[in-house]
Amino acid sequence: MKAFLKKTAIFGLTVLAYFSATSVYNYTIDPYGIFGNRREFKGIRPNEHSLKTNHVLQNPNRFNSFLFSNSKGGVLHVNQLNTAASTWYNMTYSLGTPEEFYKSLLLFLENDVQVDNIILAMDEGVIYERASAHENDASRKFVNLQEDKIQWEFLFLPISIKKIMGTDLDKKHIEHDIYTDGNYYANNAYETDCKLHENLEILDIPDAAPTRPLDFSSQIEILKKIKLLCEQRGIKLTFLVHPNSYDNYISSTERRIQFGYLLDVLENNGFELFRPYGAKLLGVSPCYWLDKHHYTKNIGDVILSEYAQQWMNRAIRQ
Amino acid sequence: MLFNSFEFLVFLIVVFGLYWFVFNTKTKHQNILLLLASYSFYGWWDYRFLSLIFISTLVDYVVGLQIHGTVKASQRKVLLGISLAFNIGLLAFFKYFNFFVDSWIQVLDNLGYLTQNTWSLNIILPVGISFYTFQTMSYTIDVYRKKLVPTKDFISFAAFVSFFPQLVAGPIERASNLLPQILGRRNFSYEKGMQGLRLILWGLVKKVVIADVLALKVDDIFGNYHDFGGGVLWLGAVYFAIQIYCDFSGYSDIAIGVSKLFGIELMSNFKFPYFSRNVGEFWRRWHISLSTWFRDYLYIPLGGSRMGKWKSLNNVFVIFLISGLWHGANWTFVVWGAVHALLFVPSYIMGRNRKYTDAIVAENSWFPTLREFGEILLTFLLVVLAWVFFRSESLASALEYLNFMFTKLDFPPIYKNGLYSVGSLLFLDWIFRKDERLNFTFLKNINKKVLGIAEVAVLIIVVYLISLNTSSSQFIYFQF
Repeated sequence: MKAFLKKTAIFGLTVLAYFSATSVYNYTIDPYGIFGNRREFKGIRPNEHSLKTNHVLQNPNRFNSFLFSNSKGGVLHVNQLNTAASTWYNMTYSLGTPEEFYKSLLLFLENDVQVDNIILAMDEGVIYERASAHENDASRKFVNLQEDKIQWEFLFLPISIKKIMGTDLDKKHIEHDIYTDGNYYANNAYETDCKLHENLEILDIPDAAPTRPLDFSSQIEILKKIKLLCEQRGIKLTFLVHPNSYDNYISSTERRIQFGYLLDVLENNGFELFRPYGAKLLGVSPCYWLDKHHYTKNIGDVILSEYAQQWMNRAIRQ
Repeated sequence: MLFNSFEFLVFLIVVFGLYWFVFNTKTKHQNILLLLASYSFYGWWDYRFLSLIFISTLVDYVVGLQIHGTVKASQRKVLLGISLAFNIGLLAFFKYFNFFVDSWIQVLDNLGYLTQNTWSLNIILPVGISFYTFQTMSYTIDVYRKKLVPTKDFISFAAFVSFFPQLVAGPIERASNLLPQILGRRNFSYEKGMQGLRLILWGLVKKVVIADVLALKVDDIFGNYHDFGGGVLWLGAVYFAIQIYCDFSGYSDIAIGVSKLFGIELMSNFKFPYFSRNVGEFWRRWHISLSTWFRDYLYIPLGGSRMGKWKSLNNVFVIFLISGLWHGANWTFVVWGAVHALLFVPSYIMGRNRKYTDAIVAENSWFPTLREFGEILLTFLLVVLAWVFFRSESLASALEYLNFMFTKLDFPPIYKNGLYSVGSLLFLDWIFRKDERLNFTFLKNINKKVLGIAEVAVLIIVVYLISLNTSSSQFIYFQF
């Protein structure tokens, strides 16, 4: 028994030491920003879903216009759209889904946040990304930080060297702003003085229908819910479709074809879609793409400019 | 109280300490402690249902003694009937009442007689009722068959019925194995203790690192199967096969490991079922305590295989259908049982169902032969297809799911990363089978410590790889 207890104690103490170390690390380094000990996120991905939602809830009168998007929307610097009547906040977070956007919107409205304008940006993640998968994901799970309780699960997450080194994301030096406008800042990651008309190769999306179209009823249902809620509350809603790169299209053609089909179905169901660059694919150039999935602010600015000129002022009521 | 909860860790440490350091002078005292601990363990979930366990214990305790004291065969039969009626009655009411009512109403409705169901009741299913009722029934049947002398020690008997490590999810123990251990003196052994801890850890890894991670994908895929192509649906079915194995066998491993800490040996419940070469072998390796229960207390009394081919086939179907129904009150489980019966029948008719009773695949070799590999793969795929019925909400959705698996077949665009978990589990299971399979002298000569360290290293690498695959976001450590 003595030998057993000794061995068990050594094992128990090792486990205890490990968990103590992880809890100290997670509390002090605070890689997800959950404990409020970190406010700058350069090169690492915080739990933007929770932090941004909480920031808006804590400042219900500061913003009245919101961009909901997955990570592609981070470089849409929506503060450029600010006017006397509208102050924008970028609610972008990695792999965000319409289902989650709907819940956030409901939470805003329940907590008396004034909402006048919404851009809801979409890509094929609408089909393939599942909100339920985020329940077990520290950087995406929604935690209501308004509730005053210790987030134990965040204390015991594995220690990540990348988080300490600030190389969690990639080499693009993405900086996540949470407390000003919610935008992503990709400092020195691309050339800013590119001439869009010179290098931007635009190609037609091949005309292809999915061999076996998926059933999009659940996706359409949630988008309809958002549309209905906005209509009821007098919120101007725009469905934005993120432009796509040629490389991205080629690397997973079936997914893009399914998404293209979903867009057709949506339009046939009375959804009006804002599709910058139309049904075109953009050529990959460092000026316009951080990687094959994420476009740069250069493209983002074109999208916002088009939105400001043609969509925002049309008082779109979906 | 769940095995993978902090409460259970505290509970286990306290009960272990009291058991070996405070109540260790007398077996009776240890049994009182085991009984109190078991009732607390169960009562943590819902104390009201403790009364059910107590009544079930009392009935079988009294009936067991009465049967033993009665010579007249007809009276013994009546007493056995009382026990069976009571236990099956409990199950029928708490688990199957609404199922039978709903099914009957549906039949009447289809015939145009009735449309309103006013009979269904709001019944809570008591956790573990299928396990402990089967355990007590086996006691009474064994006493009736004169294979077991009933105990007069009520405390020990009650501790046997409610023994907390296996109370809510098995293994379903036989009185002939567990009761003598509870009645006899237990001594702590270092070897058993270490084996127990290893099993607990391995069970937790299976449950928390593999089953719970796959569960998220499985829930999404089965819950939204309309949204996916056939490739993802195939992944969902395979993931569920691994999830249910890791979940259930993980629980059994923890139960067996915890029991070892208290000096008690429980029977094996799983023996690497996914390396079976036909469905017959699968059922000798999957949920062994239940399949042997049905064999001993239902199949053989029905006549087993001694009554001619057709009667035997009939018995096979009865066993599989009841086994299906035992798992849950839904037609999906019944059909799951029927599908397994159909998969079993060809080898039964050809007399090949007992081909792999003793021999272990790849005995004394590192890998199976190509033929064996083919057999394993085919059996696994058939079992995976049958799991679709088990996991689906209804028969209609199961059939539709299966239809999409074959008609919408494509390369899965998402959820492929769960294959890491599947591969890791199969790899580790294959490695851990070495004690069963390999008889190489050089393996025996390798220091046990070196082998132990190598195993732990492999385990850590796998856990690390899985945590990488699911990004640094899984709350796996929290759940420990």
